[in-house]
Amino acid sequence: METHLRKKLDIIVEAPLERRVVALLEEQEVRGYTIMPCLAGKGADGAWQQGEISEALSMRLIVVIAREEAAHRIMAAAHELLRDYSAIITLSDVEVIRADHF
Amino acid sequence: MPDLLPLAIDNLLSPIILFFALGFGAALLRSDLSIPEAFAKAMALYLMLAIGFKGGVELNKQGLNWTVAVILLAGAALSFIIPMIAYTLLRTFTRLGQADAAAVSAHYGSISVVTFVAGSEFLTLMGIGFEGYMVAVMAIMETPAIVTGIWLARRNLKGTAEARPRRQKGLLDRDLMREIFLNGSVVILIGSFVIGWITGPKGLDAIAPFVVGPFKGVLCLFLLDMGLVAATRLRGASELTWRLVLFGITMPVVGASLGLTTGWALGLGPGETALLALLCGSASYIAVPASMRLAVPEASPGIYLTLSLAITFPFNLTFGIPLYFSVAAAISSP
Repeated sequence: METHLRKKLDIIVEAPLERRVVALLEEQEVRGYTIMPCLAGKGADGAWQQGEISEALSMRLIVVIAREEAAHRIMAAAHELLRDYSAIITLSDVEVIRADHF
Repeated sequence: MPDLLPLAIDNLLSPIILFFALGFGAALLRSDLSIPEAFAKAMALYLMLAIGFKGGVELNKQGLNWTVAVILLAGAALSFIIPMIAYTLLRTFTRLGQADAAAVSAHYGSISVVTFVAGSEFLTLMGIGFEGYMVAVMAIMETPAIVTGIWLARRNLKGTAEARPRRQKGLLDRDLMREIFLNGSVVILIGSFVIGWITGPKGLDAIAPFVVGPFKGVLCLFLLDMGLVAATRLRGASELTWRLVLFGITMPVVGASLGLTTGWALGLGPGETALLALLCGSASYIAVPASMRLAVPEASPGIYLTLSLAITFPFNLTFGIPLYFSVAAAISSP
């Protein structure tokens, strides 16, 4: 099967910032993204888990697949937006089947 | 002044407090008891809908007058002012930095809906009524403290432009305004209040089996969850010092004293005065943390959430409610 190389951006971000990240993605004109809830974890700011009554400590995973040049552009913009907040941004290589979708 | 001890025992032995204690104990003993998050959220919505709606119906029965406007204004003013007192206490007696102290103080200026609901149940148990507009006072007190907290966090920020947090474009940007004023809890409280006000006793008759009947049972289950969450938070609290714990117990009494004084000055009845004290003495853990994560990310949620949820909430629930009520009963006009 023929596959095509693309980049996958994983952005783990605090729930209250989800809307801002989505606005940024729309601004960057990405063709699609997926948002997933995170269950629990631990990082520089200590441990957190879902279900603390307040949404404030929940995290979201936002996944975007894009061409290399666009992925780097989005990564830089996301870093700029999130530099003061608890967030993890990673970029990795993926292969996709439907090239016209990403 | 009513005798405090029997009041405190009556309160401690009510089902809602015992369920809270059950959850608290279960989490301390590391039981796997848990309540699904979505269900807990639905219960919180239900409680706010019911308390808002019933408050609106009461206001419909009693009608609007100038007192309501005055006490609403007083509530908003208290919510603005209390964070400044909390901030001063924190900066003087604890080692918290500006951002942490500001974020904590915003929580203490705002209110806890569940504490209010537990307090109103306690008043019902004592046979004391209160006016429906107190629900509107609660809703209005939720947000001004957030503005004060953000202002406290951002004023006189020293350092170069590079070292300073870069997010701020003015005190409140659009996203933050939406988070503060269109926050889910504010919308459902005020919305249900207005619906109750419009539909009145007829509306209450129509949905009483939903908003009145199951109310106490749902409250018990919700408090079980609160107990679980509070104890889990306390167990993982590494940033809590004894000075902070002392603040978490002192600040509600300081806030409540302001509420009692205001209630007395405005000539409110014992029920209203006690609830105003409780609102001033309680600390938020739903609306404010989300705003603080957005606006003051450098402040640690491990401090502000633990203080409001694991120290101040249990204190108000167990000792604060009967204490504020007995003082309110002694000083307010019958």
